[in-house]
Amino acid sequence: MSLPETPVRERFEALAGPPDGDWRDVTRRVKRRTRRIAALVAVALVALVATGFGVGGTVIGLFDVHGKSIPLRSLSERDREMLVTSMCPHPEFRTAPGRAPEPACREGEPTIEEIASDGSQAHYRIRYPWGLTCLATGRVGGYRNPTFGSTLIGTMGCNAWSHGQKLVPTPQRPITVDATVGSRAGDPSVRLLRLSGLAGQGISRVALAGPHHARLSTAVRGHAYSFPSVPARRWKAVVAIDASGREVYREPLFGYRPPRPPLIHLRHPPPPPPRRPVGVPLQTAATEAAALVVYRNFVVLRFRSTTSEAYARLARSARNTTGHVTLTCISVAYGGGHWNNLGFGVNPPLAHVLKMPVGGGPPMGGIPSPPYDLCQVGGMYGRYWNDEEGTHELVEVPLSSLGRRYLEERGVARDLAYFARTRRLLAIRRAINRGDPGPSAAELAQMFGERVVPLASRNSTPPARKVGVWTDGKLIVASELTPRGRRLFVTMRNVLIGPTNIRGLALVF
Amino acid sequence: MDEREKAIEVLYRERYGRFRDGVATITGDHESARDVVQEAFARALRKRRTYRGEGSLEAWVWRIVLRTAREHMKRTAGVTLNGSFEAALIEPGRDPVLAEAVRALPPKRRMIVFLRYFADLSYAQIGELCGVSEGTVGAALAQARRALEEQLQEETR
Repeated sequence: MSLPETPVRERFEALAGPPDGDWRDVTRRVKRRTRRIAALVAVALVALVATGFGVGGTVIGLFDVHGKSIPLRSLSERDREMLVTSMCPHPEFRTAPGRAPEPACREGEPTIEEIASDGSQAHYRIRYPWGLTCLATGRVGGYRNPTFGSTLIGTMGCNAWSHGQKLVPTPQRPITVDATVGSRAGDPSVRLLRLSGLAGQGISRVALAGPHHARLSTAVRGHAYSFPSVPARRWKAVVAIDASGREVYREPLFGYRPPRPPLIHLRHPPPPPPRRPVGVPLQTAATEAAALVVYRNFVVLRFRSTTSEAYARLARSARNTTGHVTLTCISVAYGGGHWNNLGFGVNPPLAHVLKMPVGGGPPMGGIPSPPYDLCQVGGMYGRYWNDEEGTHELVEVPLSSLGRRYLEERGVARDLAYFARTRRLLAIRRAINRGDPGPSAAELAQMFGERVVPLASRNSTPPARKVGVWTDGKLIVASELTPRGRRLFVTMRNVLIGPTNIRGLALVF
Repeated sequence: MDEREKAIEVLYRERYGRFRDGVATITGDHESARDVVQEAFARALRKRRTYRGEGSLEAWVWRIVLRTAREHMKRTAGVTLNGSFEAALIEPGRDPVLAEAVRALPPKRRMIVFLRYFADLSYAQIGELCGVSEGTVGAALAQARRALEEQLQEETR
């Protein structure tokens, strides 16, 4: 049965924009119809093309910058995952005694250089051992996100399979252009708001050219230039200027469409996804609900019965949503008290037999190869703390002893994560964040009923199958024991998550 | 001022925010959505004599608004090959859980959700706009709402 729509409606209404309606502007537009200029909004043009320019004696526009090498180790976990694991043809784990497992790439690690920075925006070049090159940009100092981790990278583009495609300035196009246009509150006209990019050798200034010879220029610093705030004019072109003040390149700002890069010249086109299993089974396993066979290029899960409770619940979930379920296979690693996992999945329609091709298709990578530690089938339903859905997927098939232990601990970790995300606890955490005194551990436990017990100290061990809570009024620590007696814990520092050992098992925020 | 012009102005004054918020899910920000809505209402004023009163005025204006948004997105390469929209919640950082829940919906259902909750259109008006029956809208909306609420409850319980 569907719930009332009021909560969803209220949630959407909270996102309403500013009251900036202006009927007179509408009537003005009716009158000036013929003068109306086609609007372009929020377009980012990134240099990918060549048009032809050479200047006698000196090669203008070369971008032979080696840049400042950035050690992979210095990057955040989130950046390493994005730059290494998600791009890797064969991701795997690197483990060392007493240390948390880290995802790594069988083909090797990329090199990362900061190739340009004008002090506000930094540009990075990432070169992969298998020939891929990517260009990334981000705010100097990066972006902070307490839930998902910090990152240096704002946007990234790669030259996957496009032979000879240049992402940096060339003698033919000595600057790259990244333009943001739009309108501002109170001014309905569409105009250039910001402009930035890379500049090649010999380019000392970049200018905006407007009507009646109007010009606005900025110096190239650190192989980059930027106009963080552009005055309102009808700017027509961006111009590259050499040290003598001579214009060496001009590119129209609006209406400019770079020719399609030669993406069709694929040196190593991606293989199509496999259609059927090849070779002998690598792994087989069975549970009460299903039997699983893992091939080198395929995963096949066969339900034992379509009248089982698990199948019926999946069918109910599928009916309520898109008719699909999720089939996922995961490789896990454990070390130093922490888990990590690499997984991938598909959303097939629910059927007696579910199949998942492995390999082919995706252009970048990030898919672990068999053997796996576990596979699972889940529905499209929500989960909340202490509910009847529990903390396990409807079908969980461990394929190794490590996979079995992971599933046990993930169930407990999810219990803690869902607890931390309860509406009631979130309200308390927000109140603490505002400076209000938090409840005592006993009061906290009382709010949640018999499954939660107060603990005497932050490192105390709760009884089996209970969530233990300790708090000093500011910090809240929730902990729970796994079936094998390991203590999992989450530290909540008001709205932020502090030290925890459930990352890699469950998403907590 | 003729009767139709007056009706369009009343519609604008009463419902501008709904139009702008609905379009913002297509254009990606409020500023460009405002521009699309302003332009669409200007077009509606110019074409008001072609409105034959066969459906609601609001749905008629919405058709113009969506056409204007599609043209706008074509210019900014935001329309898929078959000409359909990929609408998304703007400023996902303001409500990341809702943004993720909405993103998980199929595009057509997502559009219906936006037309219902941002544009505040009736089932009949959404059906008229999307070329489907009122019952289909109701069913799609109920399914979408269930999916959304399940995900939102996951966050809040």
